[in-house]
Amino acid sequence: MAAFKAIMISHFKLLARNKTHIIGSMGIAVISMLLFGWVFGGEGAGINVNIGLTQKAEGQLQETFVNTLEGMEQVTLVYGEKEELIEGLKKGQTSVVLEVPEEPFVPGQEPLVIQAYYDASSPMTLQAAQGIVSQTVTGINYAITGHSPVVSLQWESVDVKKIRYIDFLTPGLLGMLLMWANLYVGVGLISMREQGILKRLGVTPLRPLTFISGKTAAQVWFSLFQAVIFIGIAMAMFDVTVASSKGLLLFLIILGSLSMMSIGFLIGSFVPKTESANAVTMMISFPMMFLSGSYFPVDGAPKFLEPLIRVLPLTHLNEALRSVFNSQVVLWDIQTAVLVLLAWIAGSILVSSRVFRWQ
Amino acid sequence: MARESIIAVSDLKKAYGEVQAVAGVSFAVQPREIYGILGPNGAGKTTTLEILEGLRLPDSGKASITGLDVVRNQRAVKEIVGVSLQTTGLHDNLTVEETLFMFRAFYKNGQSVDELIARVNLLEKRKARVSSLSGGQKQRLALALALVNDPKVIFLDEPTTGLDPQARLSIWETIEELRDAGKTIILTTHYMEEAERLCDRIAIMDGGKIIAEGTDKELLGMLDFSGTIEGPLNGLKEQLQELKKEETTVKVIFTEDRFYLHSKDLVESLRQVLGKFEQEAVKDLVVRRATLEDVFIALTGRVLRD
Repeated sequence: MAAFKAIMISHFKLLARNKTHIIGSMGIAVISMLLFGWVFGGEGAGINVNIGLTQKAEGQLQETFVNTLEGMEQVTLVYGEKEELIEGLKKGQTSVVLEVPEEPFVPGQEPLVIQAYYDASSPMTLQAAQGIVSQTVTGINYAITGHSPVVSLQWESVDVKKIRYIDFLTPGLLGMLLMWANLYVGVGLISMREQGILKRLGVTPLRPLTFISGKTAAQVWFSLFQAVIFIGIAMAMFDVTVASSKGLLLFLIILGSLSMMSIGFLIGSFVPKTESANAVTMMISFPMMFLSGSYFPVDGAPKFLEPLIRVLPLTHLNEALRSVFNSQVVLWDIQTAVLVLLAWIAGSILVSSRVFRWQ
Repeated sequence: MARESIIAVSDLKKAYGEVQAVAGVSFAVQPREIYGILGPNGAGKTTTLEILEGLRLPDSGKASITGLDVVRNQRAVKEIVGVSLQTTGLHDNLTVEETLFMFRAFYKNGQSVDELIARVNLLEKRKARVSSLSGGQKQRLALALALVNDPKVIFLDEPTTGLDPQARLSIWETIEELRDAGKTIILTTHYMEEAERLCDRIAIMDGGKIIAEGTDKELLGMLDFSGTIEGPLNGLKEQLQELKKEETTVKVIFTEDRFYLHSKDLVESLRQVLGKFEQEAVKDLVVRRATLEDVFIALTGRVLRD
């Protein structure tokens, strides 16, 4: 027990003194959160839409249409000649260009046709612009004809809270933080072997199992420490909240750290040199970070990638963390994720303990 | 043997693939002895020690320390031996005292960290990171780690390799203090002056085997000469040739411009050599006593250091 504690404390100090490690794990997560949080507006301000208009309309109906658009907070109208506006549309200055006919509208005859041009290269704003324009047109139709809608839809969210992008992002970045903080445990092990540190430990009565569990405990404590700071910043800067119990979150952070370490130890078991282990860790971590949806959802991933995505521990960790942050769940609700993470840990212990050597 | 051996090694063998690193090594070490293993790189010194330390398993043969078999009672052996490896193998980002506290925790019994730090003269470096230590200070810390469990037997693998003379002297003094404190020490080295100064008995290893063993006097006694006179020829080769007939001369070797005279009696031979030079001022005349290097050359035909 004394040996376990000694290894744990020493390795915690080593982690805390390794600036590269801290920048590479918590640093990247915090910076990503701040940048994405600010750029995509944590406050859910909505998307601003620029709409191009060919002319200041003359007829009464045209005027109503333009005034309605002008009255919308998120809409900025840009007037100009058609050709000039289309050019601007191609350059992304506007999302939609509307050509409003000059002829006055005669009730009972052909409807007034507003020609809308769009450029599909920025789908997010285009979607918003199309919505706004269609809504405006429908509204005017009802107003003029005096009909009231027969069927209407009312959307209401049953989520515990209104999910903003930052709420989606924070748990994913936490998963990524845990990955960066623990995946390199294998590289560390190989480097200790190369430096003769493991050999020096090998001539003491220290058991390999005591050493590995002490080092693992240090990693978990340090991951927890980094996770708390990261979540603290998310709460202070972006009002991120945890919908489920904090105990479940704690459990997931520990399990997540262990599962990421399990990949690290597997690398440490099979790769002989620090340099190649570094490369292998990179080749695993980068694709995993994106495939597991740390930054954005991967629902649209091609079919052939699906099995790979489902086997990655980070995918399950991210999903479970999102549930814990954004919905009210209990352990039972995230059982699949927990089982997959446990399987990784068990597999790694089984393999690594067989191939471990001091030198 | 009068006393019971504390370390007994018999017919130890270890091969790495095709290379027979240790090819049947047997020796015994008495309590309170400093036993030196001298030999060139690749002689099998380190592998022999690593088997005794429990780092490697022998292919065949037996080794025991205080009666404990190093293979079957590995952990018990590790409790009572102290080790300083060739590479110190320390964490750069821990301090001197943190390193000592960590290693102290691995053993049931041992010395206090304060005592150890004082013993190896690292008091002023107590809170310093290992990365900031000089080579000599790192080696002293490694020595302190070898003492952390107050061991009965201490293994030192090339404890002064790469150190400057002053740092080397400081390590030697500490090793002598340990011997005086009742420890049994095995050290490997390829410095003959280190072996001569420190070791009670020396084993000379080459090609995985012990090719000679004994006190330095016994080993030097294997030579048929007690020292060498070396000097410039100064065109006196013929006169110097005559020295071959002298009773005290063992052998005279000539190179292009120098001579080497192996002698049984250095004082007598020196008188004879100076006689040959007569009035000429002799510069650069070297008189040296035979060393273990000479023993190694006599045994293997090669020089010890590469």
